[in-house]
Amino acid sequence: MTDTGPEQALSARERAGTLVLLGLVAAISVAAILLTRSFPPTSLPTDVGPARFPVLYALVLIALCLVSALQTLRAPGMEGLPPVPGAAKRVALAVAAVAVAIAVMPYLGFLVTAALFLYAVIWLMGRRQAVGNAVYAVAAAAAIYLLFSYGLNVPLPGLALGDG
Amino acid sequence: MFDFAMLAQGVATLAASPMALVMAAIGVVIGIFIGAMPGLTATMGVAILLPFTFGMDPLPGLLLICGVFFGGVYGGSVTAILLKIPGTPAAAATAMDGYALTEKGQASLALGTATVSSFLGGTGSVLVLIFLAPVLARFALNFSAPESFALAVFGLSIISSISGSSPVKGLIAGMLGLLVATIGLDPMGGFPRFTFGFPDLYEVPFIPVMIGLFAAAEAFKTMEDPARRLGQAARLGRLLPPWEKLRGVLPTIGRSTGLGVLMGMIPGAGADVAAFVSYNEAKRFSRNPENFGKGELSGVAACESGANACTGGALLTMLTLGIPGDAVTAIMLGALTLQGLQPGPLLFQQHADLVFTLFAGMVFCYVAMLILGLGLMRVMGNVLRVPTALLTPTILVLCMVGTYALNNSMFDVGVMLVAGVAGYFMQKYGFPASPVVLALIMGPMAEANFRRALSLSNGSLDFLWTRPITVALLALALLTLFLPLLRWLWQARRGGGSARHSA
Amino acid sequence: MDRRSFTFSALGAMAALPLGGRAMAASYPSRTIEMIVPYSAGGGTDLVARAFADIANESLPKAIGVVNRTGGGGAVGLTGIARARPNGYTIGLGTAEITMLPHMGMASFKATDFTAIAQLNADPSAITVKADAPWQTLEEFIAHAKENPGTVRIGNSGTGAIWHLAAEAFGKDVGATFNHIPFEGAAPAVTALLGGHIEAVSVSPAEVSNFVAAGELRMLGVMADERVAAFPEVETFKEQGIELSVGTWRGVLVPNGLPDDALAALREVAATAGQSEAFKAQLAKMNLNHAYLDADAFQAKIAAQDEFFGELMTELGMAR
Repeated sequence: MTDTGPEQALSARERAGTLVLLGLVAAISVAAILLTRSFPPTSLPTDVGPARFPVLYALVLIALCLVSALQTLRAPGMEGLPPVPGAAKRVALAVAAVAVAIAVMPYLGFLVTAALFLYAVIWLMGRRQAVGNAVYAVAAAAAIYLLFSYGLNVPLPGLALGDG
Repeated sequence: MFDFAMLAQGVATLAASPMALVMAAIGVVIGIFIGAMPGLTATMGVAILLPFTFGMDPLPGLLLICGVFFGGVYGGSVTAILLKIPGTPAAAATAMDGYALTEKGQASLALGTATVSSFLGGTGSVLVLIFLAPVLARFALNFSAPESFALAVFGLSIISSISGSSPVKGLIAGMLGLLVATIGLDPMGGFPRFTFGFPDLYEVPFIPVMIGLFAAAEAFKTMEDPARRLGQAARLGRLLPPWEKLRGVLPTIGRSTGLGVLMGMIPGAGADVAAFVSYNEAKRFSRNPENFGKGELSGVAACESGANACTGGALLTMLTLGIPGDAVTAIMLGALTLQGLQPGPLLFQQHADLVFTLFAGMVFCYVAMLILGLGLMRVMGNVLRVPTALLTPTILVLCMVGTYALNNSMFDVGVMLVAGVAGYFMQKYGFPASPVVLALIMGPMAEANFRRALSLSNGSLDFLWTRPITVALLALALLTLFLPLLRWLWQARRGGGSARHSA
Repeated sequence: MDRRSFTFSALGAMAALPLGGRAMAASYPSRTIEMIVPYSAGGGTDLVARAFADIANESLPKAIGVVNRTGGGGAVGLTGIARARPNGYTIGLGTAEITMLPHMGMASFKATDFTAIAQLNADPSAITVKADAPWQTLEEFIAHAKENPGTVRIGNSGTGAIWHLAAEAFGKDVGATFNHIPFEGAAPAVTALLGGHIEAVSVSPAEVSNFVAAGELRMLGVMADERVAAFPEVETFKEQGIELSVGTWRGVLVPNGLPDDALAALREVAATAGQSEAFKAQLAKMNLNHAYLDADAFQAKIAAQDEFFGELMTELGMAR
């Protein structure tokens, strides 16, 4: 968090990650430019067309990615902090849990999905109180459900069979 | 010529209607709550409550809606400061320094300052509305496409001042945001761009992206090390900021209030634009701009006073011209019409008594917000004492529900998740998230208005240099963009040199 | 298309199993009816839907709940209506866009995917100029446009939206070339007109009524068969010799294939609520033009409009 400009020291892991990210952004930009080739020309005589702005942004992005990649490569190296054990796995599992929740919510309804999700992620975070966690998960899911369905008039995905 | 008798009578009428006062207070509480939840916006709150006002008298009904509007703009700051979850786009600006203060253990100071700044900004803007409405009424009409384009460019230039330690990475984030902002229907021709056949992508799912980038990304980061806790932040101290702190940010609040009112009056610009612009100007005028982003109190004060000052400006244009500047005032316009009050040039002549009572009620709303806000903060602050292992999963559920609630769409929740993963990696490798939000706000505005301006001038680029407001805003944009860049290059040369020497 | 309504329907089907199809059909509606509104809460379409639902609920055993599903200029919500399971528990408030979006390749449905229940409201396009503009009549305005082809700027609420097509049809009909400027909705277009940044707008009378009443804007004519109740002194295009009648409409729609009893029940409710004094009063408050059409007339209108816009867009090169 210190202001050391472009020469901020990077660990090998950070350097590799930054470069991958920059490569990804550049790839997205290239893909965007390719996609704009199928955009139709404008129907208005005084307009620049739908492709002009995205192409402009994408070109600038590619240039910026190159600059940033150079900076990243030239930055001095340093010893990174050892990562917290299992960090990457936990994050990946949390992301997967959200994805699963999104996929099953239309089938199980909000209440069941949210309670299961809460229970799983609380467990993932290392809190091992089987009963206490379950009570919290169900209570929190129910509270949120009531709040949105009745307090805010937002119908959440089905609860009772045959309702809605 | 201002009619004080009318205002005095308005205050008296208001004082004699307890129902209206109660409704105003209820509105504020609902608004704060809705604003604080990710995904729920003031627009949504106003829309939900609108049908309830059909059966009410005009005064309580309209004050209920005003309360939700004001509370909703302010409420976004609570979760932004405490948890780095901006409840509203404007609060994404507040989160930058507000959350940094929480990490330093100064959550109460940040919350208190945010509340007082919101109160002062909002009240100030209502006073402008009361006393200067006739003078400023036609200001909004000067804003055509070229001016809006220039304003958006100025807004985008702010990216350079919110990019933190690496301007290049900030610019990449901003440009990526601009590219994402082109997803959806092309603003002039209506051609669907980058939608891959999903009608859900016809409009950029802006709020889901914001929730993902900030709230979900932060939750994923917590998963790395569940044992990590926010240091001393767990307990809130005194909420009302001490006078010596407050005095330091008063000039910022004053300036931001002015900016907020202006932004509010301009159609198409709202609290989000106001918050970022106010932040930028606070940094420009600050004696220690390098503190911004690391927990600078005036950064919080600027965003909050700017965002809330927007309310008065937006109401001014809506009431005097009958032009809604944003989604909330558009709904309020409908509410007024349904109550038999046609906003516009004739409103002040035909319904002056009600208008002035309404003004008095708006000031009351802000007073209620100050008192209730400080009270609710104390309750909401307890959220920091919830164990991380329970809080983080709950936040993830709220992210999902909040996103879903916006548009009853699971698709949007998927977008939120993708943005969350992207935000997690961006944060991990030093790419700031706020430029993306800023670009999503300003990008569509810039493109649509540039192209509209081109059409309006029958294809000529003259509008870039023949219109005074446009020229001034574009000049300001260049200044904002290049000043920090130059300063940074200069420092990098010096700093880099000294680093090499010491190494 | 929509996983959620699919699941709802699937769950509904499961719940119905023990009861048997007939038992459910006999008691329509046996549960809450969801009414999809393809535009955001608080807007004109939403207000019509909510006003209708409020009044209809008085005569229904189970309530109609309004659900806003916005996006894509209405495409998202309209797709939701067209693709809903045809059991009568998902209905929608459709707009003129169902006859327009499909021709532009912006929707996966067609106008023929909907069954009409009742039209509730219709608003024509109107040509409105500033009060201090030199044109007093439509004739003068057209003459000016013909002398200066391509320079008269007409603001609309978005390319491909009804007011844009109305202005295009107007230009085509009288043989003038306008510069069509799209805005993000009608309000910004009216603002630009007030500020003198454009010459005219083609939005509905309701959207300019404030300013016409206050003497800031002047309405030159409405593209309707009859004069608008709120502005009886403004002549229609037909009265001024232009055979043009273009406007938007809003009405209750359902997907094709609804069971007969549900269809009959909905049409009956819509007939009562849609023609009630309370509903008319509510629309009048919102400056909206009450225009009830029963199912057959409404269905015929949709078919005719579908053809009209299909031809117009093909001519304008907007069809995809």
